[in-house]
Amino acid sequence: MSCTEIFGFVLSDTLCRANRGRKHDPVMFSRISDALQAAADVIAPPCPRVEDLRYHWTQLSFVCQRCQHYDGQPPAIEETHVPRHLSQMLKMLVAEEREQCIGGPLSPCMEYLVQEKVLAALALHARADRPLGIRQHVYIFLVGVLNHLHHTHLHHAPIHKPLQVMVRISCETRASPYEAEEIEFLSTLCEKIRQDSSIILLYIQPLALTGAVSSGYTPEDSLPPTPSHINMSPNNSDPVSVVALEKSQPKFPLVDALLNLCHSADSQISATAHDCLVGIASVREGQSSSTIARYTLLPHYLATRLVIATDNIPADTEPALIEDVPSSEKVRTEGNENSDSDDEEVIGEFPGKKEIILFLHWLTFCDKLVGVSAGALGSSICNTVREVFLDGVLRGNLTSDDEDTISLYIALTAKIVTSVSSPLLVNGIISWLTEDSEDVGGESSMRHHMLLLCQQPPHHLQIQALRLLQVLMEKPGSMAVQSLVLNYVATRAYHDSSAAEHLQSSWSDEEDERYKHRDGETSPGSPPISRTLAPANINKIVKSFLTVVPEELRSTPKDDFESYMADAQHQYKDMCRSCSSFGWPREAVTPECPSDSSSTASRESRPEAEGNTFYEGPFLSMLMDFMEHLPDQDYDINLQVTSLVATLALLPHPHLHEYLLNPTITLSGGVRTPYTVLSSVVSKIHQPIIERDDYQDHLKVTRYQLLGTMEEFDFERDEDDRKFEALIVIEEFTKELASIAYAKYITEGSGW
Amino acid sequence: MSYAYLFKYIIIGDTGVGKSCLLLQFTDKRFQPVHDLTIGVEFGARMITIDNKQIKLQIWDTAGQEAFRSITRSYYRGAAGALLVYDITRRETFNHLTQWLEDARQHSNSNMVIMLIGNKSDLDSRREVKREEGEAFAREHGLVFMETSAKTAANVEEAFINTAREIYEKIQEGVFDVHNEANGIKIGPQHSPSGAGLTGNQGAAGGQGGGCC
Repeated sequence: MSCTEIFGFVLSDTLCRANRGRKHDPVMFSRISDALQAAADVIAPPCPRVEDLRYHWTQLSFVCQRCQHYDGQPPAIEETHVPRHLSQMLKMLVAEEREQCIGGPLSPCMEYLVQEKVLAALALHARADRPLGIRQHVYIFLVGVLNHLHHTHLHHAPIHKPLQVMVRISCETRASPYEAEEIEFLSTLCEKIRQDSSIILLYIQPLALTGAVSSGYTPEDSLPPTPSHINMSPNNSDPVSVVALEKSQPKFPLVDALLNLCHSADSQISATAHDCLVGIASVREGQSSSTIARYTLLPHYLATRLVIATDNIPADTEPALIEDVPSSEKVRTEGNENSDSDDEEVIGEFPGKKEIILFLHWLTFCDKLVGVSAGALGSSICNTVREVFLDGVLRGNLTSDDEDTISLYIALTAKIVTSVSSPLLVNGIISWLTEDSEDVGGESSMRHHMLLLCQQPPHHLQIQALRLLQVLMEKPGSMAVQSLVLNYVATRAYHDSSAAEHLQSSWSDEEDERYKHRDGETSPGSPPISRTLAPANINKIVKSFLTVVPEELRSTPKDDFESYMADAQHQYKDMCRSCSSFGWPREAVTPECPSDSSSTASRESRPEAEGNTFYEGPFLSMLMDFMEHLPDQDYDINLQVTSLVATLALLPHPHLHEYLLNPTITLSGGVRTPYTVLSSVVSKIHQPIIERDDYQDHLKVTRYQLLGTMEEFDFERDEDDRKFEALIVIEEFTKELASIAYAKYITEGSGW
Repeated sequence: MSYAYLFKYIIIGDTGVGKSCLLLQFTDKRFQPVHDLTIGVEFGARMITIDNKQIKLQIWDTAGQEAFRSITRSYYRGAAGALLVYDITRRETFNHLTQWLEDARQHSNSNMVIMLIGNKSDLDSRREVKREEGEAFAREHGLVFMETSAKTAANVEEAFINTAREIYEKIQEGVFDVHNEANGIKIGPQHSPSGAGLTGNQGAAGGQGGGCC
């Protein structure tokens, strides 16, 4: 086998060997039959591959040596035989590798490669790029080496060190003429790392790996980790200067090199570099991810991309259109326009669409990286994104003085929240928006600002801000619910437990209350039926809601409670699925002692909860205020408010449920719930409405205007018009609340 | 260039015990006081003579750092000999020997010859591990023991050559299957002509005619 191969090689390579003293006549070989090969072996044993390798390497070195000392313009690589020697060397290595047993002793060619430091010398030539253009060919040669050698060969210092040098070379110049070869080399290396993740350790600088220099080995390593891409030493052949250069090099050149190529003007190169980064970030080996986090600019790069993409969004982009821009990874395949891209058709072109798509592309990429990254890196990216992008650009625009800017960026923020999916990034963004942080440097928290936007004119920003809150509440796994709502109701301080003991108003209430305190009485297999979410007195609860609007004030005799039911049941089932992992309690019970409540109540809510006075938190408080002012507000604001309350009511959290949906519990003094607020609003407007003779007709007309048609109704309204509108909102909203309560009862009772 | 046998060695032990210096002293006969941390594996080779036979040693010098342990492990397999090195001036490197030994036994072939080496014997004034302790450990675990100094070259030749001699003797006894390269032993080129009929007593397969041009 090997014999034939070598004969084949001899035939193809006769010219090259002509000066080597070994005389093989190609014509003769072509005639010789296989039978003669054995004889030929004995008479003139085929020269071992390693001799060929040595020959080509010597020739190549000779050419390169000559070029080093060439005065004037060094010859171009095309004028030399270097590419041919390189490809022949690769042939030897590949042929030998095929016969090699993995894990055994080194084969002769590999031993030669390792001992003669062939790759190190090649890397030196490549660094100097002499003969001109050799760097390109070295990359190609190394791609071949990487592709064909078993990955364990890459552990060898004489192999991985020169590879690392080549990686560094591609860190040094942006937009180098060899970008295509660089990316092929780097992506091949990344592919090897994917096959054997331990290889990645060889491409991290020792200092970064060990954290600090523990013993006196390489004191030079204790230099500050300043990544410098510019200090190219003029005389590269000087080993001392190369060593010095290496010491000040970045800790993870592979990542730096890839980041470099991310900026390539060639979108294919840049796309490959991005893919490689995702691959590298997902390696879970040693401290690789924390090294990327600490010593590379990857987190910063991502944040900067977001900032630049945001800056490019034109100011006249229509905020209302942002929501429907598809946030998939379509950008990359934009070139081949498939017919099935229907969404594109639907929204059509508008100024700023391209920029929004590009922004979403970067957001999605960032989200993907955070998703695949091991711990330290993911949170580092999120922190940097928060620092640079959220607190920088986004905060600046959301708190701008210009209404249009605020409007655009509320819309963008909502789009960001709906587009991201990796838990770390979702939580990072949502907690930035909703956490009750101390005011830092005179800047109020985003939560404060957002709630302010909801409450202050102009009207269109109020609507937008309320919608943003809706988006936050609906985000699966959202921390917004926790920090804006649950932290405040978890203590159950809205419930007056002492009064309740005396005032158990019915048998079923008492029974429920007893039931809730019985633990562990569950039938195996199915979860216990929650007495909070499926209370026995459900009929009473439903009736309470349905009678908030007294019969004489109803706009329709039709009882369309049923039509709400189907929706509510469907939505509640979805909600339960997305909340199943939160470990929420099943029953609303008053914690025995305050410290017991720590499971859900965060520290921030504790001060308010102390002394058993209930504070619903700024968000719920705002919603209650809005509901109190239903007769004074615009219809669309009222719709948005009731929609928010309904969303919260759907959550399968026992305390929130009890607070929003159970009018039968005993409340602590002064506590407002939707039921009490809506009842008091109705009683307030009851008299003025009923005093009008035409109030029943007026009610019907208003109902028709609000629910019947999409026609614009004229704005010649008096005080009473709003009252009528509010009444219809309340009428429908109480039906919705009742249906949600009932849907929860049914669903919980059937063990969904 | 020709040899009767090729033996594959690995050098293992904690970081900073002098593994790379031992290799450098053995292959290049020099000492380098400041040495870069080994990353991955380094490689060295040298010819020695045992019983008038040329034996080629291919030696893998591994990284001692914990981070590279997974890479180091992949080199146990297919090694005929191992030099397990500790530093006589640092007690903890001696304390870790049990772990190293466990690791080696678990990942290597059972016949691998392990030589225990207490390095830096030139620094006797700073000694923390007594020679007797090394001897006792070696006896207990069936290892050969030696104290060496990569700096003065004391016992370095002996360490590598004695290990080779043990492997050679095991071959003579027929313990090693020399035709299985995974054992870390390879018969030299002139020993395996294309018509290899002589598989009988491998060790005896004559390498006398080593003189090939």
